[in-house]
This record gives sequence, structure tokens and C-alpha cells, in this order.
Amino acid sequence: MATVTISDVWKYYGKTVAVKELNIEVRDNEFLCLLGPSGCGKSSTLRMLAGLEFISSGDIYFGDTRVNDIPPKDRDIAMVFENYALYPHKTVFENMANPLKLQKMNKVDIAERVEWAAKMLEITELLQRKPVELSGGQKQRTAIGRAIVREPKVFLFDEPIAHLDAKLRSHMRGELKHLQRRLETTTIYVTHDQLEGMTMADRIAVMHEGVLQQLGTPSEIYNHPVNEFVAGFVGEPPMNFVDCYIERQDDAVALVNDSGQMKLLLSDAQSRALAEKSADGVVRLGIRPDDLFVEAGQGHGLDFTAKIFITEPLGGDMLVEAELGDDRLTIKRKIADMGQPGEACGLAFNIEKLHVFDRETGEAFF
Amino acid sequence: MTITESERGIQDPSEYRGVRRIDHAPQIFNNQPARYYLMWLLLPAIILLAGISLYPFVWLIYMSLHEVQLAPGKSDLWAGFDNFSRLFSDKNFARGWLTLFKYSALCLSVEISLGVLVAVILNNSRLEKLFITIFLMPMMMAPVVAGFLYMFLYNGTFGWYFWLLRSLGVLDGGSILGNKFWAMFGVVATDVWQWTPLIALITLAGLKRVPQEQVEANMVDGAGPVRNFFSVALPNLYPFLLIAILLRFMDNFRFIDTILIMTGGGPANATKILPTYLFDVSFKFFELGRGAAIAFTLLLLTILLGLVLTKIFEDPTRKIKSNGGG
Repeated sequence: MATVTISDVWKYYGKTVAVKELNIEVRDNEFLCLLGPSGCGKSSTLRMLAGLEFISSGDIYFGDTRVNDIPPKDRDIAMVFENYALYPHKTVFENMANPLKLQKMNKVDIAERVEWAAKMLEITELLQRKPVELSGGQKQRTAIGRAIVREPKVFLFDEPIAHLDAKLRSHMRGELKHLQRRLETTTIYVTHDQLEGMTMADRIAVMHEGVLQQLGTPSEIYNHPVNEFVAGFVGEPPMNFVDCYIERQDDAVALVNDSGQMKLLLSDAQSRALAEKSADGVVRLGIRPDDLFVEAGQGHGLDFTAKIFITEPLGGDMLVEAELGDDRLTIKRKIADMGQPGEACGLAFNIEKLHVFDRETGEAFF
Repeated sequence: MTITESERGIQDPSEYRGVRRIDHAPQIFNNQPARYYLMWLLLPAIILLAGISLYPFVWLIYMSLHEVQLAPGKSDLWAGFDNFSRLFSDKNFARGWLTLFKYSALCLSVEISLGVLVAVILNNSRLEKLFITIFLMPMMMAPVVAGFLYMFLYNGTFGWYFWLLRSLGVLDGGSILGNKFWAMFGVVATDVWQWTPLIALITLAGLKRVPQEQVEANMVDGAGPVRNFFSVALPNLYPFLLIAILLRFMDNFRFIDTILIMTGGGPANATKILPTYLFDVSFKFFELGRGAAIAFTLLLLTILLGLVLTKIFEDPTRKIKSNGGG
């Protein structure tokens, strides 16, 4: 029930810069995901929001209130920690009641709130247990319960489901998203798992080495990554990258890979985009595994002939790794008999879905 | 230079019997012949230790049931439970217990609260290491030396503490150790001075183990620093405090050095804790039988209290420990 403004925030640990000039505006009731590999500064950012970490410079606002100097207890936030941080000597009920007790709410109201939250999280029958008697998923629900019993301005989640097993994790993704929509509270969620960001967030802020790379909706991030890092980090399996150089033939522009086996004619719009940004010489092409086509055997009618490196069936779909000259590409397709490694296969590109990056800076041309 | 296994040409550690044994050390205990072998190796040490601790214990019981004769040529007289039954009518015995409890309770409560406070203040402070080193000095001192030191500090002629208290107007007449009321505080202060650092040290080690995430979660939940200490740090400190309390209460029940040096139990038995009385009975009155009976009750109650204390603290200890894994 508040906007969160991170304005020009820096964080240093000694001489190490953890967060560089961060500017993010989180809208009211928005689910924002801070996404990035470990050490990218996302957790430091969250901890600064919580007040657990000193802000080296810059300001953080909740609504119109500058919170830099407000201690965590007065910030009206609720946080779920990576390791749940339950109090081992307290029962589930007491754990969840803790924030309300600290607000000096009366016992009847506390019991009512806790039971409401427990019912929502389906842990009513666990209320009298101690954390040591709970499974990972139950501990995590308790931790979330402790966060939702009161109505905080902001929810902060620090990789809350990172330690659950895969099946439970995918279940909890749905639950958390549902919960956030239902509670209508501004939520900031830190994760290194791009899937969590893609599935749950309204907007994603991708961070790398302390710098915000891109802030946008999951579809913007996925379809229009601003640089090579974002393109490579988001999406599973990751995007293929091929080093190319630009070749101009009359009006048309083509990308040719360094070994010369691949030549892609770009569309007019793409050619114009390259010309506008005065890209010349060497670039790096990026293409997602879903935007490549592969067929087995010789008579395939596709643009290029590549060699199967390995195939990985995934049940309904499969991943094919194919070698085109010196480059190896991962392709995702419906499952089929692709033949043995070393055999030839046909390969084609969805030209519309190409991404081209500056080989030096990693900036995207389109 | 050490030679690694691969340099010796041994690829699989199981080929090399010595390594294999070490790798699977716990399994040795499941292996019957090896277990007997270990038993034989341990036996001499077990016998020696049993001899050292059991022999005096058997003697203690023997003496407590006899009227021990010290004069040469006379044999001990069987006394049955007389030595014990006489204790019930011994006023000094009852008073010894009372004084011991008073002394131990005073020492423990001051040492624990002060020790925990010092640890909290020192924790994560820049001067932590320096202060620990300084604080450890009293602990290095023999209790006898500490006794002498404080006796001099309390001395009515040149004692610095005496002068200080007198100047402040706290003490109206007489010396500290000569006053029935002040003598107890005098000996307690000595014990506190010497042993608070131990409590602080143990607590400090405990504070390092308090999960930071719980502290932070509680801060976010809305707790201030004081509240945070009592609701998160303290419960996590229980196992450490248990060790500290057990150590100190058992020390109080057996150390007599400082009191013997400083007051000898006086004035007017004000500081005559049971162990001091025991010393008097055995080595001043030379009633070794009665002394042994007193010692036996002391031992029994120490064990009982130890068990009770462990029981009180056991629950949170177990839960916190087993939660550490998950």
C-alpha cells in the first residue's frame, strides 16, 4: 500500500561497490522482482530497503517518507528470509504472532489474525508445532505467515523458495503470486532464478555487478533485452550467441559467422536499425533456442546443413545441440528421431527473432 | 615434502589399508574384533581412572560409617549411620548449607547478569580482543592469590577498597571482613571479580552463534534492541548459560580457598559455607568420620542440583541444536 522509490542509491562494503547508482520506482501494489546472479547487489538492495543495511549514499522513500534513518522496526515492512529465520523456541503460532505481539495488539485479535493467515496458507493444523518439527515447505509457509499477519506497507522476499525441492517450488510460485494479488501489497522479491521472475513478477529489474541492467515487464525483458547479459541470463535454455560480421550486398545487409558457414539476410527494419546505430564490422548474434528450426537428415529443405552434437529428450520436447561450423547452437523442438550424433541435420533461423549485440560493449542493436 | 597417494601410485584409497581405516573411522565400532581390540587398548586407562576416582569414594563411604581413630594402633570403630543422624541436630551443618546457598545464589546471579552484560557490550566492538585479554587475567590467578589480594584491598588499615567505601560513607565502622553483614559481600565480590570473565567469555562465544537472520527477522517484526536480546538472543544462549551456571555452581560448592584465606568462615560464621565447615570438622577437630558424612551429603546434593539444572535447560537446548541442521 505504498510506492517505493530507490533514488540514486549506492552501497559500499569497504572499497567494494555492491550497488551502483540504483534508481527504481516500484509502483503501488506492484510485484517487482530483483533478478541477478549471486553478488549482483540484489540482496544488498533488499537489505537496504529493510533497514538492515546502511545506505552509503542516495535515498529510499516509502510513499513520500524518506526512510533512510528509520530503523527496521518502524518501517512497517514484512520480510521473508532465505533460511526462513523462524524462532526455534517458539511454536508456529507464536512465530506468526510475534509481529502482532510487538505491535501490542490484544490477544483475541492476534489469535484471529494468525488463524486467518494460517487458513490461507493451509497450516492451521501445524500451529502448535515447533519449527524443528516442520518440513522445508511448512517452515516456508510459516515464514510467509509471519509476514502476512499484519498489513505492512511493503513485502520483502529474499529468495524465499530457493531451498525447496523443484516440485514444491513450482507450486509455491503460483501460491505466492496468488497471495500477492489477493493481499494487494507492494512486493519486492529477490531471486537468482529467472523462472521465478518471469512467472511471478509484474516487472523485473535485472541487476549485474551492482548495476541495474534493465527494468521492464517479463515480456519486455525476454523479447527485447537491452544487452547481452540480460539476453543470456533470462530464458531457459539460454540464448545462443554467435560471433558474426556484417556484410553489405547492394541494399541488403547480411550477418556472416566467423567460419563463413552461416549467412543470414536481415530484414529491412533490422538493416535500418543497424545503420541507425552505425553498427559496422563485428557483432554478436543472439537467438533463442525456440526461434531455431531443426530437421533430421539430408533432404530437409532448410537454409543450412549442420551436424548433430547431442540430443536431450525432455519428454514432449527435446533439445538438440547442433554444430554449424565452429559454433554450437541449442535448439528446442517437438520430440522426434533426430538420428545419431555426428549425422547431418537441417537448420534454419527465425530472422524476425534475431538479436544483435555489440561485440565489445554487449549493448543490443535490436 | 609430503608424498600424496597418487604420487605413490595408489589410486583407490581402499587399496591402502591405513587410509581406509581412517576414512571409515566410525565403522570400526561396528566391527566386533576391532572393538575388542580397542577395549584392550583402553582398559589400562579405565582401570587407572577408576582407581583414582573410585578408591577415595569408597574410602569416603567407609569413613562416614566409622568413628575414625587417628592415634596409631587404634582401629576404627563401626558407627553405623551415627555420623549422618548426628548431622540433623548439628546447627552449624544446617547453617552451613544456608550460607552456601546464599553465597552461591549471590555469586551466580551477579556473575551471570554482569557476565552477559559485559559480553553483549563487548560483542562486535572494536576493542573486543583487547578487553577479553585484559578480562582473562583474574581467571589466571590462583583462588588463594585472589583471596589474599582482596584481603589486602579490604584491609582496615591500608586497604584501598576499604578506604573507598569509607570515604563514600557506605561503611560506618569496623572493617569489611570483620562485619557480619559486609563480609558476605566481600567474599562474593572476590568470586565475582575472578569468575565473571569466564561467564562473559562463554556468553560471548554463544552470542557469535546466535543466528543473525533471527535477529534481523525480529527487527523487521518490530522489536527494538532490548526486546530483541530477550526474545531471540537469550533463548539461543541457554545452552551456553547452562554450561556457565553448572561450572560456577559446582565451583562454589567445592572451592574454599578464597573464603578460608579471607575470613576463615567468620565473622561469627557469617561466611562459613558448608565446605568451610567441612574443612573445620575434618582438619581442625579431626573428626574424619563426621567430615566424611558431610562431604557425602555435599556430593549428593551437587549431583542432584546438577541434574535438576540440566533438566531445566534441556528442552530449549535440544530444540535449538536440532534446528541448527535444518
